[in-house]
Amino acid sequence: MKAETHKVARLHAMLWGIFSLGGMIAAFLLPVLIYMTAIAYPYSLWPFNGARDPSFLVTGHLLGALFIFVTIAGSLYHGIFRFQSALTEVGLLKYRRALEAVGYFIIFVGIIVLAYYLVTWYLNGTIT
Amino acid sequence: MSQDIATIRVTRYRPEKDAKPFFQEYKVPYRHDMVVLDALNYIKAEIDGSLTYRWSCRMGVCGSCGANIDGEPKLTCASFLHEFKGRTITVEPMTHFPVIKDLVVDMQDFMEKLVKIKPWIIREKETPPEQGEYKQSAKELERYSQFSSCINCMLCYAACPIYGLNEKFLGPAATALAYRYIEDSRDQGKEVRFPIVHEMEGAWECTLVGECSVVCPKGVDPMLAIQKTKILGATNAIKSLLMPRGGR
Amino acid sequence: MVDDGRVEGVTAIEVRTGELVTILGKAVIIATGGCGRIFQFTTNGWIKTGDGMALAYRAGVPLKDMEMVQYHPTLLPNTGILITEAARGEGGHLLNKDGERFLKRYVPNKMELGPRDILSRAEMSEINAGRGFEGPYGSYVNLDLTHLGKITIEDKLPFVKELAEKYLGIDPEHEPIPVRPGQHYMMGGVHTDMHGFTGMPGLYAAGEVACVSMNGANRLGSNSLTECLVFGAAAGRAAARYAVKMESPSFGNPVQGEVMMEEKRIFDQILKHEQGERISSVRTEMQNGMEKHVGIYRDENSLKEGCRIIGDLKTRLSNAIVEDKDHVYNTELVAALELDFMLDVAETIPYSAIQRRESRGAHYRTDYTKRDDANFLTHSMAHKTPGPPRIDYSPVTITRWKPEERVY
Ligand code: SF4
Ligand code: FES
Repeated sequence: MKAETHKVARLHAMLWGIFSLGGMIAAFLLPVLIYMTAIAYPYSLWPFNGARDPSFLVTGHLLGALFIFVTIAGSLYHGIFRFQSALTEVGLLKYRRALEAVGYFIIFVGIIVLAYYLVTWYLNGTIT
Repeated sequence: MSQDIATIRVTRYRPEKDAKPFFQEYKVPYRHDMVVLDALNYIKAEIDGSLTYRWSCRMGVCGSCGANIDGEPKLTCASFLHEFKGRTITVEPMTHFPVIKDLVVDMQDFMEKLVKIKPWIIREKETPPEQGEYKQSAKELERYSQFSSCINCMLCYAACPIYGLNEKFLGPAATALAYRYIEDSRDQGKEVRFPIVHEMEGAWECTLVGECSVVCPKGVDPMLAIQKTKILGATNAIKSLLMPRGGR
Repeated sequence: MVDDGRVEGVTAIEVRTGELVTILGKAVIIATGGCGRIFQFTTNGWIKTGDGMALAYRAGVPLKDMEMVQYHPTLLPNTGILITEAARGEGGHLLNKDGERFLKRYVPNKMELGPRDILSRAEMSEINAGRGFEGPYGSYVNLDLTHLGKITIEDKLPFVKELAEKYLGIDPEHEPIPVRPGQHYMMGGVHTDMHGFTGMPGLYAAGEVACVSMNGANRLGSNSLTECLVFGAAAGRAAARYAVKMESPSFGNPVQGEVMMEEKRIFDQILKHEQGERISSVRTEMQNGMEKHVGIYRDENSLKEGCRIIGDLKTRLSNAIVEDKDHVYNTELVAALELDFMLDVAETIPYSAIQRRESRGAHYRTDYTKRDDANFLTHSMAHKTPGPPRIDYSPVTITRWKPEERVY
């Protein structure tokens, strides 16, 4: 018997974990975001009943920033991960790796940019 | 009981004679309680002795009689003829496997996968039987018992589009069987088995199509096993990131 | 393959390619199970064709106690699928056509919990007396579980429910299950000692194929597991001990000659016939004949008829055709070889039974209904000869339990 070697897909495991957990959290947060931006703000409902500037969401508080980050990054990431699964299912296996790379690249760049702004704002004291 | 006539269209392919597969039609008289396998046996006994297919137990236990019946992977011994009343029944070899002859497919790949996941109880140290059994409670049994009802019929592989695209994929039944041992309280082989199921070609290839669990004749839910295997894989990976020095 | 009285391996067919392969070995353990398919109604898988018994028998090892055939009382009549004993254990009733629990006439103290052979005979008696039901697959009686209720059936007998629903389209909560007796287990088989040794150097056997004589004339439920686990391990150990001290066999004469002969037999004889009857008709007649004449109830005349039928069928098989001439995966050829094995094994049953002029355990003679320890407390041994099997006897070893009268 030849010695067995198994390459545990550790990176993929983590990506999947983010996909699965991140997707779930984003799915909960997304309606909240939609409520705030599409319903509460235009109609001046809570928490905008004082007609507060909606930018407080990102600029007002660290938690707010985190909320935006998780929702956007989680959704995008879930989308791209699912997209590569769909590619597998329709048999585009050949191009999967390439498309996957492009997708992940875009996502990670987006996520890093997002994180960068949030962090700089925090450091500038825009976010408290 | 009345005797009806069923029309059965079976894939024929004899590598020594035929360049490619074709369909052959047979008429089979049947009773209410006859299954597709009975029809095949009738054909072989009375009409055409050369029709080739696999079977053994005729009661859904051995897992050798799978075929695509009207396009769906099924056990021929558990598919009644009367369910197709009036229509021609098409019987083809299970999809995704190389065909050896007529309805017989090559199961080598699956056999290798079964062995690969080490389907036995692994102990850090075996104790001789004199020192007593490895005990298990009904509750502990419950955790994996559904995954142990697999009869290795490979229907789930025939139903899995991912396996059809990438035959390296460990696939539903083998992962379910691996998970059966992972969940078994008597087993201590996680260190050995995790690397196998957590390879890229292990559970990760699955995209949650779920057909495997639909076609399974024994009520096994391979999709669930794969999903749970993935969760274990993700937690392990994150743990190993946080505690790189073998913290578990 | 036997060389100078020593077993040195087997010839086999690689079904995928149709090639004859030779597997040399210092020791061979036969573990091929029973031969239920000899009979019309059997609980066995339909691959149980007695191949291992026939192999040993042809190599010169006697088949012991072959007349001891266990019948199980509750099979589905169409497929022979077994309905477990638990269905009766949980309180199921056996009913005849008049809705009567007929067992009260046979085993009043045990009723449905009585032993398999007596229940099987009781069902047969009812059917013979015209008190059974008539169905497309012959007569049957009913196994009634309807009074047990949904909960018991679903919790305790889920597999019974599944089988009745899947294979009969019957819901046992509301309808009785049709059942009939059928062949279940061979108490007899390849003669071995306690270590699975057949008496022929290098050849061992374990499991149903073997007759280590722990079942006597009537096996108790689950004792087949003991045969597999305990005597399987014993045979393995004995074979290993033997193999370590032996030289490896070489592929020379006469082993090579035997392989050539087998090759000739298969490719120049069996596959060469262009015209003749199908092997399936020979097989069906064997199954029906065995059921009818060598089944639950036997007597001198029926057993004689059984011997004659098998003899005839042997001649017919040698002229039958295998339509499929392919090499690759020729299941028809396999079926022909299996039938050839089955006929050899089947023949030993009526020949052993006809000489046992008594009733004992699973063997019931209507012309000799009493047990006769003075003459027949002994094992029958069927030896292969060029003609019909030769039967002789070997003494029974009785250890702790003395045979007693059976009262229920
Ligand atoms: S999981 Fe189900 S479908 Fe798949 S091989 Fe096992 S029994 Fe068959
Ligand atoms: S013949 Fe065994 S499962 Fe169908």
